[in-house]
Amino acid sequence: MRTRSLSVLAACLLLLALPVRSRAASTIVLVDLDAAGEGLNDATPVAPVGGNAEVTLGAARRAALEFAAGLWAQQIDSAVPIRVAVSFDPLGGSATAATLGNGGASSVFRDFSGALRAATWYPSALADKLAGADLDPGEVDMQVVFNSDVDGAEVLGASRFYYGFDAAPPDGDVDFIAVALHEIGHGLGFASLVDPVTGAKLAGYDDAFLLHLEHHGAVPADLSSMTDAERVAALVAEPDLHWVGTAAAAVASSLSAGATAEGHILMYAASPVSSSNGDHFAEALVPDQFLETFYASSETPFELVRAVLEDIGWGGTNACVSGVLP
Amino acid sequence: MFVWIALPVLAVSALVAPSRCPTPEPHVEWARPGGVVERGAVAPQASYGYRDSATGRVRPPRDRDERRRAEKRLAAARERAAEKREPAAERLVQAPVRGPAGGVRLRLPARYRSGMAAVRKGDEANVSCGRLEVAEPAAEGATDRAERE
Repeated sequence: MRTRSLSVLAACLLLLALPVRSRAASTIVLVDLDAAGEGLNDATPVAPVGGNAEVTLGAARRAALEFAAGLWAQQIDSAVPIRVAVSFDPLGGSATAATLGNGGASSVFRDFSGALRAATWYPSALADKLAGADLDPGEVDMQVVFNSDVDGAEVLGASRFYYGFDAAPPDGDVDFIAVALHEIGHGLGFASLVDPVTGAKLAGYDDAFLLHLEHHGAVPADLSSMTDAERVAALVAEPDLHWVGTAAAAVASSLSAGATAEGHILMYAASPVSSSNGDHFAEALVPDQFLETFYASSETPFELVRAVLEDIGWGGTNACVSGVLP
Repeated sequence: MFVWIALPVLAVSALVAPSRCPTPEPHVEWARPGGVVERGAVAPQASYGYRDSATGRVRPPRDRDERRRAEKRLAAARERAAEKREPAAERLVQAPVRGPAGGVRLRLPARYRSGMAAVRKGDEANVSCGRLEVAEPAAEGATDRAERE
């Protein structure tokens, strides 16, 4: 009897010791900043498209946002809910050019308990994950704004946001989910905080993204160690501005173009410098990635983007089904 | 026995008790006659103190009320000077995080968001993105690039 009890105990201990495959999951809370009757609550009738069964413009927008946020919620792991402030506002534009939206972290944090590196900025959602607590209770982690004028008759002419889930917008329309994935990606930390014009670090500190950027062939090569002037040069050094994170290198073989032999990923660094430099993959990447400078398709894979986020501190991630929203 | 129980309790209480330290006074610098002492950021008229109309010299406030009014005026002047250098919405302010995790927070101005623009070429919509500056320049930059291509 005693032997049997010991065996059961040993079996239990063994089960506890076995590695448990963690299921990446997070809760993303979309905070609707729009008033009744506008933006996310616009009651204009629309036809269902591409799996989005909603029949009002506001509901279709909300459903598409939930879809995009749900994709992200399956890719990243955090015990702390990620709060995303969302709104549709008239951002204007012309018949041929317009801003579709913008997004980014609302705050950054450094030197908190759980930070992976001292004197380094982490975007709010990542900082919360690392700290295991909401460092800024009551505040959103990122803010995303979309241009409601795109769905009107004047801005971008006949082009509209396409709210379907199937990544198959009609010619000329803009896949809204691709835009939402891109902007939420920036809010999660796919963005350097370096001023691309002056090369200055944010308030003089490194940021988690900057730590993995390298000007291949330069001395020093890592952007963190450079002077401001050297960083300015690095940010227009395409094709020599590289992402050198280990997680990204591990999946670099998934690219047929845009990665070096050692697994470095080419980053956008065209000249003259623009605010896109250093914050996006280079356009040379094949297959296309939704965090490239130019939109290609929402059917692009998550693998590389997720690996970059893993490099900055989001940790090992794997796909799983996740409860989503609101 | 009582001592062995009470002493540790008292010691722990002393460690966890809220601090009774007085709140530090706001740091105030005095003005020199006709001069500026606030690291060059405050105009002479806004210096802490009162200008004597007869002599033109700046004197310290005479009493608590006068001092409070002077402090308030100086704080407002500092705020105006800071606002002039950099609008509040664009200012990078670091603040300590309250709570057990500690750390420092910096709220990012809107210019640190990434903007995404679209440019129509014929029937196709080309989309580009970048850190938000203002809507139209972002779109114009995208236009330039699209035309080069």
